[in-house]
Amino acid sequence: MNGARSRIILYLAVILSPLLVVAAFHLKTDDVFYYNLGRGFALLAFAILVVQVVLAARLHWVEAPFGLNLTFPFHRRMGTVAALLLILHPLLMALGGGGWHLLYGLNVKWYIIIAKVALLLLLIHVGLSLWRARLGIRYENWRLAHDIIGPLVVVLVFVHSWNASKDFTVRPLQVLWLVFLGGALLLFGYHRLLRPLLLRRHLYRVEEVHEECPRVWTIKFAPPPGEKRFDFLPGQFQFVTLFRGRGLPVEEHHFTISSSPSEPGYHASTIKESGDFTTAIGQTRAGDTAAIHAPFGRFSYVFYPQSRDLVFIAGGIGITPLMSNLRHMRDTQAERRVLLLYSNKTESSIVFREELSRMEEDGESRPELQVVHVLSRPEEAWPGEKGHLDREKLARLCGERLGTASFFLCCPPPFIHSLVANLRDLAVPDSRIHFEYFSL
Amino acid sequence: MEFRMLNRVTALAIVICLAAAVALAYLRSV
Repeated sequence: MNGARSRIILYLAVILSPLLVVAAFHLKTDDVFYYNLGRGFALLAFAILVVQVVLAARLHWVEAPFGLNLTFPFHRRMGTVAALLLILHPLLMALGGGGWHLLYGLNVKWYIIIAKVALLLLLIHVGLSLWRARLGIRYENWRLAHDIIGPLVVVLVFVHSWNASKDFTVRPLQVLWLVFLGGALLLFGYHRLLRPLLLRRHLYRVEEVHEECPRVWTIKFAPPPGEKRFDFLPGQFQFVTLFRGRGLPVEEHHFTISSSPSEPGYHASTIKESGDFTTAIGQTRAGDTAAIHAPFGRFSYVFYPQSRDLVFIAGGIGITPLMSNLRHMRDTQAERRVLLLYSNKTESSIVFREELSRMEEDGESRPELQVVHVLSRPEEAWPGEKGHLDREKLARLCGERLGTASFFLCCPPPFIHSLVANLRDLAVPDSRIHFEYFSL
Repeated sequence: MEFRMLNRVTALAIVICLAAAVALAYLRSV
């Protein structure tokens, strides 16, 4: 946790730094409280916007203690906070004597117009990010808009504050602002332009494409000739850009690694055709190449060495990170007892069924695995569990494990919410519940 | 659960930012 704490302290120090510089070098003004509060909000908002790039740039040093599953939502939340501060900024300044024409007047200084444009763009930016799925916007289109509007807002806010505020007659604040702007643009350039180019110089090769079950494909990747495969932990994920030609799209998407790091020389992702980009995943062929940025994520039993008793709950293709964990336990003969509750619609949609059976039946070997399949739309003859994995089933199937086991959930978000609520209801403390959403 | 940490850090950041901005605005106004 020390790594996490140091990064949180650093984050707070950076976003508060403009206020500290003002306090140290330009404290006294003739303005009233609300006017000064509005100014302070704008300084904070700019600092938050600048650090947004750091949160989104997938820097291992930044995200490793938390995982991208936390840093990306934090990025979204702080973006909303910055937008709220920038909405309050002109309101407070108007209230503090700046005049309400600041808000609605068109006959204002050019840098006020710039601020209005920046605020409008920021509101669109935040709205698109919060409601992308609801608005039916494709991920790739949203990402393109995000990459254009984000840096543009930072530049516009910089130009506005530099010209509008008396605080920027103070040299230390000028220096801080230039460092902020320069740092943000350089990091953005690295993240979106330079790093993708560097990754393309070390392309992985698709070694094998295998259909696990209808519409679910495992793609095996081999490292570039003469290079070692990157190291990863079971349950982690990767960002993959496939270069397949044949008119197929070249887009970067994240996929869980379903193989175990203990399997040398390659790694694999198991991907379901589920709309958008993945619809054509089965058209990937051996010999295609891929730029890979990895590993990410903390959905791994190895982070919890004290947890000997585990309950894995998978919904559909959510089995993939759990399979990576199970394979790693098998290959390292990890002393773990695992109950896997695996929910699917039908028997034919169960992925890795035979391998799971083999692991379960090998009583001598580790982990000590028990698999319970739960089907929501089974055939008449299905002898196993039917319906949804509700509170009653959780209580019955987990039994005494509710009091001891660590729970790892990977399913679609509504399923996770219901599972977490039910587990809490069954007195499982939050400290023993770990989950991963399908999407970031 | 990890999301507890996310909520706590977000709340901490918001509270500290608001407190610092209010304190600075007060000091600049008196």
